[in-house]
Amino acid sequence: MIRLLALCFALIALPFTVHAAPLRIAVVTLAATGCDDGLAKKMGGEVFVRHLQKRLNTIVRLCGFANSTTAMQALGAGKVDLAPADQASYLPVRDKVRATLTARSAKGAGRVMAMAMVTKASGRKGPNLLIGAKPIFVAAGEVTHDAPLAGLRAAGVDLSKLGSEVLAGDLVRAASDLRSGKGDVLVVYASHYQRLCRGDKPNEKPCDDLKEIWRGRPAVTQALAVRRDMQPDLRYQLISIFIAMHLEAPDAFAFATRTTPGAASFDPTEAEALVEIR
Amino acid sequence: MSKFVDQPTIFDRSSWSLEQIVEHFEAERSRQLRRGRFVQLLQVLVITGLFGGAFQASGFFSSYLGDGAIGRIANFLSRLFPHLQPDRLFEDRATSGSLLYWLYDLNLWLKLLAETVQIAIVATVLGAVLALPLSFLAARNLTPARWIYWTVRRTSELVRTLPDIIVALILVAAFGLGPIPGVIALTLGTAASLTKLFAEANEAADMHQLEALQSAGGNWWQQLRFGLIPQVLPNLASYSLLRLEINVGGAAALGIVGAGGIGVELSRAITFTEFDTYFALLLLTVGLIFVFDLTSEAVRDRLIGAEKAA
Repeated sequence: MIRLLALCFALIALPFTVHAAPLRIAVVTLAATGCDDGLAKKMGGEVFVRHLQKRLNTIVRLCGFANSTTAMQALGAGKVDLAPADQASYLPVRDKVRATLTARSAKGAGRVMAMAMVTKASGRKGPNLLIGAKPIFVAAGEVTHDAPLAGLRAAGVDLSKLGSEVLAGDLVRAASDLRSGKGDVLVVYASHYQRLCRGDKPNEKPCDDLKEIWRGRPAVTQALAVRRDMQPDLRYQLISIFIAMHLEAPDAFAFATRTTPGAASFDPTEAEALVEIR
Repeated sequence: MSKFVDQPTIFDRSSWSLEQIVEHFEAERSRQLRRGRFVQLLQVLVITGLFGGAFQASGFFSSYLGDGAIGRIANFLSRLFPHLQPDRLFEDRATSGSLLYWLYDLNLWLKLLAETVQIAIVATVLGAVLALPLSFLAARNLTPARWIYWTVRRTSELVRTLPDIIVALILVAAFGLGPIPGVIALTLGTAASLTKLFAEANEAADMHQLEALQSAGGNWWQQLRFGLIPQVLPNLASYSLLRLEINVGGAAALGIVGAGGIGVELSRAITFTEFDTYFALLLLTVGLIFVFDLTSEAVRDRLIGAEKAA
């Protein structure tokens, strides 16, 4: 009985065991300060550090860098574990680090997923074969037009070489314009794609005659980056903490997004999200 | 002219004066109140009749045992309370009327109470550990297949319908006397009830975090471990502490069928009609449950408070 009791207390104590390695987070300050225990207080980030320590069950330290380039170099060198990145600072160390989280803006479309579809009969196989093709959009607007175009640009499509745009006015007409040859490629965002191609009944395939040649999202300008060799478990843990931070600890969220005003929440992101043209 | 001729009917209220409306309202209200009182009186009469019939049928007043219900209750109470003598209260164990005379086997009882607590803690922890993975399968939003959800839910319902004491009785026959049958019986009951409570907490969790981890490449277990468990952990801990309180009482009762703990002594005291001993054991058990209640309440408040403060 005593052995069973000891086992039970060991089970209860298991979640409270502290991880050995502290988490070092790079922050951009006026001057490089290194990893300093007092930096969180100086920068008003105590709530942020406390929240991460509680959720990660480990020591969290802020490390000051003069700019994001030096912060990313430190990340690449393994001197810190998490750092703010922009497109310029990411590229030199992209083989060692990856984007992992990005702040979603409260306004605007954000990183809306978009798709490009052609008719199967057209024979087009990829976004790079769209030179001269007339794109069809459901309507002008940030979500229906600008964000999908930005996504295409990030996919390497030279937008200046596309043909004249067709603005269909509604989704059904846009699909009909593609089928009738009024345009060559239908560019829609994810929600429109679902409505158009999901069908009302099981096994119904309304887009059976169409072919998706691209799907993607626009690049981001800022992200939080980690080392590519970071343990997946720790990366997932960080993602889950940051995703819920705006709800669980709004003050910590405000500190984490102090350089991206208007941020509403964090989103997970793909490794190469900071690369403008992939 | 008849008085009814002057009074407007319900169909021509538009022509009523204010006095007529008030008079009609008052009349209607009195009528409804009278009817309500009559129905209430009728209910009281019916319920009283049913009670009377039940008392008569159960032999409460006309039993052949002893000197009537009130007399028997008085007799029981007089035997239940210890006959403590203020002048001998702190005398030794051999002196009738002293505290030690009443609590003549306190050391054994405290040892058995400790065993009761051990049974409750072990059963709660093992039950919660079993319930956690089952709750993932029994949550509509997490289960990998509908048939798994159905099977786990129905099985936990089946186990919940079996009273712990019946399970313990069967296990005592299988394993013999001692705390192990009690631990197993309570573990099964705890696992079954916590599976349901945990599953409901899981179903109420925000799926956004799990979806985020899935999109980042996390597998099912990683989604649960990093996306779900941190969200629901305060709830799971709170439910487990509540179950611990229930199990302390449950473990005390299980001893009656020989499954260890203070219940063994309770059963002996009843069998030998040592009602004052029974009362002493009852006080110790209630005191223990109070302590557990207060402690777990404090821990629960701290858990929830810490979560809100974070």
